[in-house]
Amino acid sequence: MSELRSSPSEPVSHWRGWVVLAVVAVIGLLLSLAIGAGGLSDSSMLSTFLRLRAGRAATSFVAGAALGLAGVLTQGLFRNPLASPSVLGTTAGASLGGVVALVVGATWLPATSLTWLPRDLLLPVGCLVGALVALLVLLAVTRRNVGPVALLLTGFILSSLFLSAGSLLLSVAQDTWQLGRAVVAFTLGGVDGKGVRHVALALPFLVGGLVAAVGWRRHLDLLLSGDDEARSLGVRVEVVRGWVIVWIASLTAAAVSAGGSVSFVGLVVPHAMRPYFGHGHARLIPASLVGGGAFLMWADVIARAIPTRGELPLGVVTGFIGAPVFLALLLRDSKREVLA
Amino acid sequence: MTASIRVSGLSARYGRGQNVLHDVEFEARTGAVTALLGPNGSGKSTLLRAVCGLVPYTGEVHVDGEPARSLSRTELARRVAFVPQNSQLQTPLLVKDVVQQGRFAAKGRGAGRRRSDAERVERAMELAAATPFRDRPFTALSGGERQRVLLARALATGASTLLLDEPTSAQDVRHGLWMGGTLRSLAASGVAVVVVLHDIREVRTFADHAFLLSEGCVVRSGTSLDVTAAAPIRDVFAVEVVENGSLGFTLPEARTGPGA
Repeated sequence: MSELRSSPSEPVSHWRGWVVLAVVAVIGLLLSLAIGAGGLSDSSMLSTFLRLRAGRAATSFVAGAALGLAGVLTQGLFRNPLASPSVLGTTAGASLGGVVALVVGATWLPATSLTWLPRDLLLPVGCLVGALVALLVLLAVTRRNVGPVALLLTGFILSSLFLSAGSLLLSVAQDTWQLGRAVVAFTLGGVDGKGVRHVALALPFLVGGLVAAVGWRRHLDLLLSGDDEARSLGVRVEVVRGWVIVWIASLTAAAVSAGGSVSFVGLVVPHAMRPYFGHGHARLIPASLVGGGAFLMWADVIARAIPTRGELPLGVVTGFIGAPVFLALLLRDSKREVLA
Repeated sequence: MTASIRVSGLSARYGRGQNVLHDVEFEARTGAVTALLGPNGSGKSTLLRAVCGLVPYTGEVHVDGEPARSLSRTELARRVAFVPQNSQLQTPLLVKDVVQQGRFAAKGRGAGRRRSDAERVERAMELAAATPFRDRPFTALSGGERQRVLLARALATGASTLLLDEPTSAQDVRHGLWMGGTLRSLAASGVAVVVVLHDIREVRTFADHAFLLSEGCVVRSGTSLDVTAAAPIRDVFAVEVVENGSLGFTLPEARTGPGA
């Protein structure tokens, strides 16, 4: 298995890191409130615009925070710096689960006696089931301690499979114009029109994930030494792994249900945090949470700021940032023969 | 001296393969250094790993008189510390943080983060001569230095039994001698030390007792001198032992630490 050695030197200063993070997050929030369709000069519309923009800023922050945290947990679980929910197919699994939920909610459910089921819950539950299935399939395929390349390839294959299944469902859904539009919007990712309701649905997962991750921080540090060393020092490895998987799936599901299928946040953010906060999970976990939130808030600002006919989907912006970073990491690790 | 580890009728294998150990009888006593000796693939490391619960086995392992299977993972970690030959850790955690991991299974409120834990960690680093690189990343160390950090991590657990897998394999001659002397000091302080060694001279120099393994079986046990006598070594390793004119080293009396 590959290893986490993204920054060979020690952290610069975690206090400096927190200051930088706070500045980046606050500027991101201010820009998020200032930029968008419609001017703020009209005082009659000011409060409405600010409320709408605060809602999408909060949604992008919560979704990004969940993905940043899921990224740290994924890289720790697989001891692989190139691992993240999007690279390993968990995001695609959650997305497929969400599409299934949308289709089921619009077509099958109204024809049954289950109409009392809250529609709002259907999407996050679908995402959660999809993410869990994706992770469990990945673990089943890679349980014989396969190398990092095999792990990444398996993730790629699963992603492709889930995306194909999602496309199949999309073609079916396009029979109904409204459903087709909802599925496309969800698949591309974005926080347009999102607000308190979406934050309220995702927040419990984020808080739960944070509490769990902080609780497991010492266990996760020990797992960096491999299962046997962790066991010999008293870690119940299977229990920790089981719960970490559940929380990665929950966090990814929360993020996807709030912000759609957004890639690379979980990969980029922990790498950006390590030079400032080091490799120990005690500092890396909260830093990646805040960093992920700030990153996606900025991505949403960029999506709104770039002049296009509509609004750029969030996943497009994160893809343009994340894909080069992923390639750079891949090339660097290849040179170090980590992937040999 | 009482038995800290008692193994009886132990057989072990990896996955569905053939047995790596067959019906092994083994004992390690408090206050003594016990060496495991044998050719490559004879099952020495597997025996260590079975004792600390890393390999499934049939038979019995008793730790301080209690069946190991009845002990929880953390309780076993409090009693038995394992020093692998190499660590899988490739993340640049600081040495002091790696040694701190030895306090993971510590008992009590705030365990691992108390002042007493910090003192124990510092003491462990001193004993293992790892203090000079306490603030360096683990991955920046040489193989020999890493082994000393892993020893410090094991000492930080406060376990009464120490299992070491070839702790001198990456050490130069000076540090090899220092490591042997440290193991003897630990035994003198009441720790049961079990160590896998390849160098027959080291077995004679550092160990009180020895077990000679071949093809997963214990073929000879007793004092280190008896086990490393010409006949059993010839039988197991197919080499002749030359007793005269052999090369030997010793640490100068006045020098204490390996870097002195």
